[in-house]
Amino acid sequence: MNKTDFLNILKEKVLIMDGAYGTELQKRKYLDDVNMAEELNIKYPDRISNIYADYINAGADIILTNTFSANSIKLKQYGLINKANDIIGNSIDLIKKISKNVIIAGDMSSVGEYIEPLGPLCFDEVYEAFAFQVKILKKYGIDILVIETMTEIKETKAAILAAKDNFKGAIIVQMTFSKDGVTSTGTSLNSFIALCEGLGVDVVGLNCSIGSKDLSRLIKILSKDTYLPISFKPNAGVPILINKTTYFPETCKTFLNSCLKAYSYGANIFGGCCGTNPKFIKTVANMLKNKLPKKRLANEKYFLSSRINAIDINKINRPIMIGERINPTNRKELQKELMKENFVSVKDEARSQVASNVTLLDINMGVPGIDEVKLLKNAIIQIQEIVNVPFCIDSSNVEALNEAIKNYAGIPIINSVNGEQNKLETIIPIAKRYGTKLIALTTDQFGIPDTAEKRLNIAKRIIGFAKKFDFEIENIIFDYLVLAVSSSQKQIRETLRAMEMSKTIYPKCKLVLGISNVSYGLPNRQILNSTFLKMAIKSGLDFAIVNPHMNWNTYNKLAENLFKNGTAVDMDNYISNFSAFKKCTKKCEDKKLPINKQLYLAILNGSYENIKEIVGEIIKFEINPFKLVNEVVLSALEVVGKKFSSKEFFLPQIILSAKAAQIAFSTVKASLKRKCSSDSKKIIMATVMGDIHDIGKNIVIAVLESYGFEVIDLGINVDAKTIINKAKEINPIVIGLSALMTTTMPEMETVVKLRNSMKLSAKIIIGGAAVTKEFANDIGADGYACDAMEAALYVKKLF
Amino acid sequence: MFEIKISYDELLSRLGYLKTKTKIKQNLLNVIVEIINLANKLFAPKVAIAFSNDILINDVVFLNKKFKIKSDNIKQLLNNCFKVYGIFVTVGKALDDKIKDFGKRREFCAAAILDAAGSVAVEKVINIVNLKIKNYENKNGNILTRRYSPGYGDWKLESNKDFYNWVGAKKIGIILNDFYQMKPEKSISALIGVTKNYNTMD
Repeated sequence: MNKTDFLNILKEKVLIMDGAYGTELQKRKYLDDVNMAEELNIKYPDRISNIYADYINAGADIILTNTFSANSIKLKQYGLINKANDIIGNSIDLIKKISKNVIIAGDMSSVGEYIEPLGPLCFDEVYEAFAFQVKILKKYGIDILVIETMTEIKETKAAILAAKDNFKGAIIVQMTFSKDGVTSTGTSLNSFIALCEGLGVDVVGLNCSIGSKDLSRLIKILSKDTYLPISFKPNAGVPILINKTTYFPETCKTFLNSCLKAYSYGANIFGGCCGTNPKFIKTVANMLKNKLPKKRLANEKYFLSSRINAIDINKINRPIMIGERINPTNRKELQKELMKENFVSVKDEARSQVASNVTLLDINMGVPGIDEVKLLKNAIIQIQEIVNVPFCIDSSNVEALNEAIKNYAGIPIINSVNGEQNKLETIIPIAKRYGTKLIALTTDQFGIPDTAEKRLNIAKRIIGFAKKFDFEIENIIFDYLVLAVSSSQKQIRETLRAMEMSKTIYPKCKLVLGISNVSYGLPNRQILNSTFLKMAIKSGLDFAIVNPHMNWNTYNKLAENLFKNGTAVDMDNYISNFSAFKKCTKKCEDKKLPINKQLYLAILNGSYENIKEIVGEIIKFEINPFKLVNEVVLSALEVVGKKFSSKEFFLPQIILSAKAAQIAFSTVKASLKRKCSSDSKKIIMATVMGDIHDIGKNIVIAVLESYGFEVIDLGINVDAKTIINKAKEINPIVIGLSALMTTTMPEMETVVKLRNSMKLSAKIIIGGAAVTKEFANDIGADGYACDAMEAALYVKKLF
Repeated sequence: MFEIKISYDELLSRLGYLKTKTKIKQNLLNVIVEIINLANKLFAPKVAIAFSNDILINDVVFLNKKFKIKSDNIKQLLNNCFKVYGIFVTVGKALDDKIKDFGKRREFCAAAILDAAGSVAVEKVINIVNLKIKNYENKNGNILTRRYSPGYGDWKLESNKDFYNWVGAKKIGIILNDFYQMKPEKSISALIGVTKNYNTMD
């Protein structure tokens, strides 16, 4: 069945999908003797056939293949990757044997782990895992694809792209939401719609896990914002596991009532998720099968989205502000940070622009001589988790754009393409593939045309290429480019005129301008920028790329005259009026401090990002840098310790200060090529045997390292023999032992006894949630520390 | 499945923050907010419950004639109880994995904050379950004892194995290691008794 046929059926009648497999397999005890449900397809095919047949007999039009987890990641985990063809192929053949009339839907779901930064997987790994599955599903003959029970938007994106790249039939995508209409990873219903519509999904839907009543309420919201057909596949209520049995509270009747509600809101496909069974499906089929779907009118919208939110640009007052401050051009300090992949300032800038009410953030990582592909991708991954606004991804590097957009959890704007043929032919397909909006500059290899008409000619060429690549023209945002009024007075009028003409000729295309260019080289740029912005809005401007921290409410008549008329008199009038204007510059107090004070404050505040630079300065100018760093760091740490004792500081601050101090020591040591002597300042740390907790141990290690000690971390669940053997080998001054559980504390005594029998000189210090000073005394440990600072103080006292 | 979100104040309190004394710098505040957002995306709470009306207290406590608890503390706790609930809760593996990931990358501050977030969340989950059971039993005129977990007092952690099997915690993805500790680490197991006797503590 091709896509058009399927979508035509959906226009004519309601289709019934099958019900649950997992819970039904459990209930029938079919999962005995298999590692994963998909293994049944080859090991006990009759069991799967039984369920298929029951759902077909119940009236299901669409049967999902038993391949929910048959992606390459899961199959590898269960040692079944070599049987993938048989598992997936059989799942399809079994349906075909039962009925030739049902629609066979290849079923896919999560790979079980998140994509970075939420989890360990990278986007491409997940894409490949899904692509592997789709190719086999297609090979054995499915009609449609269903991606279901998704909870994370980036994984959903990977699945959709893998599906679209390898299968031409209709694709249904269903995510799982809480009662509030948010996935467990924070994605809203609208953000889900934005992604699905942007990527060209054919049917959107909701399935699992909040029960049919609440899910039908979400269908009502969904149906108002999408023009796509909708599938509704709820579970039979929120389950509870009691006495090893999973109970689902809903009955066929309550489930049907919710389906009828969802039908009234315009849902097209009805099935069941966990806890449903053939009776549920039969009940629904009896009432809804083949009914004419309810007509609905979805809102006209223009979505841009992030992981969390989708913003309907049509509902926002003009101009829509795009923050331009994440851009290292002419910012040397920021460039230095980005060279080290330090995103602290960039994250701060993202937060502060959002606080200044931008609707979108422009992200540009164009640092000369840097690997922009990697940097832009990592910047996107990091920044998108700390702010909720959509991004405008800004690069002229095609590969960097592609990687960044792929790793973006939503629908962004690409900034930008221009009228050059090679650019159009490479960037429009990227925009098409990822469903993004696209800023198109009306310039080309010959530069910026001098008249509005010539710029519109380039716009026409861009529209032509968009049509060639089947890229919807309403996704194009034209930039008619504004030049500095100081050098090109007449150009301002041409820009505004081009915008007005564009709104008439291409009313579907929105308009953007980078506003700050206009004031370049003149005093009081804020007045010029703000005045020009107001004029541009009157000419139809939709988006303004701006510094949001400026005051955009100012207006000046002299500035307006300059833009409107652009005569020498206007220029003189403006300059003479504002020549005395002085720009406010932000003072950087810390830079004025002596270098040792800067180091001291950095340690105290836990500002580790600039430590290497500060210590670098010390190394350059001090005769004995190690002595100075040592003195400053230890005095700062002493204050940190006191503040911790007085509760002015709490645990995270200690760790940050420790990290800063550790970087200071390692930097100065590395520069002096001074290695620690082999036996004087080494410490062994371990969580004792039987205990798997390592967070406390790790914090102690961080603080000890901050005092310049070399710490050898033996890890968790370490037996006494291993600890003592290591101590014999490296002769540490201290062995630090950690245990969280009362049950594992006795192992500490074993270590102490073994140390004594081996007559090693290393002191043993112990700590952990359940450990006490008395216990330390009882077992013959040399010391006890209730926290990391106390451990460091104990070790320090040994000198 | 149900949703669980933790707040900034809950996390700060867990980390040892004192409103009247502790001063947080902006850089740390940003990190904490970032980690809360991350944590709230990673929580995937699950609950397994078992109950038994078949309690026999002799030298040891027998539930359903099979599950044996050797603990004077439990005997005392369940004295006068006619019903016992066993509960396992977890906030899921993704959180554990991320804490480990931070540790591997030596981002100990982020690891410590996320670890604390997990502790707050898992306690919140078991408190919610506890409250639901309490409300249910109160309706029938019953009251609950306090919660008690393997590893407390004289109830040995080794008991967690039989307790785990009785409740069926495997079904919610909890694994017990050779030392009877649970994975994901942010999991809690506990027992609650039900009594009519108002002298028994709640």
